Amino acid sequence: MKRAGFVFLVALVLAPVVARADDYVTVRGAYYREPSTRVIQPTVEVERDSPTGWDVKAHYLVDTITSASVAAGTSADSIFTETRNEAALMVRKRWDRSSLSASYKYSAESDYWSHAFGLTGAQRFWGDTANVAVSLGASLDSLSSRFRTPACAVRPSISCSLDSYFAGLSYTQILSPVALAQVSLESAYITGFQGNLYRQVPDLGYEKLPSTRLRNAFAIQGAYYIPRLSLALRLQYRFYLDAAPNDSSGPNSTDPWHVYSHTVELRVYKTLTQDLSVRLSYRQYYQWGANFWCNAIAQPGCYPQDAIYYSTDPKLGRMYTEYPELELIWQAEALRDVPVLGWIAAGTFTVSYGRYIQSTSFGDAHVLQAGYTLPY
Amino acid sequence: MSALTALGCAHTPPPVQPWQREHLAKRGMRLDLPDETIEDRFHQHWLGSREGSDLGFGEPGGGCGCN
Repeated sequence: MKRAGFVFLVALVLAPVVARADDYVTVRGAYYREPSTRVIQPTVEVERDSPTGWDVKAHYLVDTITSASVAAGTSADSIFTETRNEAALMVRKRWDRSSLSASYKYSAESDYWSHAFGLTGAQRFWGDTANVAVSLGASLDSLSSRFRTPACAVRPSISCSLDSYFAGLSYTQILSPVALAQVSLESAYITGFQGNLYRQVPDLGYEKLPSTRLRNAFAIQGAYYIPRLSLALRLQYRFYLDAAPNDSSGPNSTDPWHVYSHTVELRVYKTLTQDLSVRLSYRQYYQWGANFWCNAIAQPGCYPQDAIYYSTDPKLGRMYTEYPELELIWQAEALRDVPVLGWIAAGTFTVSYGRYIQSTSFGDAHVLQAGYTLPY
Repeated sequence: MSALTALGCAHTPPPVQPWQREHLAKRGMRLDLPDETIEDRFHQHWLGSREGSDLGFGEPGGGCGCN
């Protein structure tokens, strides 16, 4: 799967209130399976924090996607396997109460390449109980089709471009010895080909989407710890709204995008024993679709023949998803005296299972993850 | 001074001192745990390919199983 590099940036924006020396190595594996798509993703990530205030973090991952869907770039009923490689590097300089991070991420697959750059500045204040982080980023992507020269390609090139510019602001505040809150605002301006080069709409041909998109999200989350129960609660709400700047070519002269959504997620962390804890999480997502979109699979002919934009992408319509998940976290201290295995006793194992329930034609999915983090 | 206090400009101590942060270091109270950060990155990855909002950061199109 491809992704812009902004996930990496957001991880920086949501940095902790108090800086810590966190030297660690993490290995994880993730498995995602829905009726027509399967994803396997091994990941390794390493961070080294220097006493001089220079920190380095890097990760590498491989996505292996096996799909029988049109969305995978194949015709229906054929199996296709795609591999994506991703590598990222972040360098951070810490001062007494501030930090500055620069990051780069490269992602490549057979028909999609992405370079993402990021810069994040953070400042702590008010007795180190508050943190403000500002992040800027850009992602320069190019994509090509395995079967044709797409209409979005500017000759003599046979590939299309997609550029994204990101800005994020977050404010985190410790409210009490057991409570903290965070608000964040993120915007991304995206220009270029925003669809899938292989997806087609009956009677109209390859899908066509607006070439510009301004995506905005506002999020607020709070965390609260109940010492008596050894229980932590984390609740997050996110509102999303996008638009096509200076484009009113949607139905009845409306903005063709105007996708908006509400997301609520609750996580409950419970310590069961000294070494074992559990996390229960539940996420609900409600989305209202793009103004230009109609369900051409369920309602053939719903797009007029002179439609400017058209797509059969299910995720651009009105939809609903939910995701319950259970995770076990085990501190491997019990292995301390076990021959050969003693060296991993300082680490933490996690294993989780989630069920992703979708109202779209993608169908429901199983999500299984396992990981190990070793501080050093 | 009374006016400034009323306006919230007077100095007030931070709500939590460093020695009061034991519980804030617990899992669930940290927003930056490495394994959770990586896990969230994977979540955002497939959620971005199945939902139209992509949590507000750029999700370009492309020829793979995600757009």
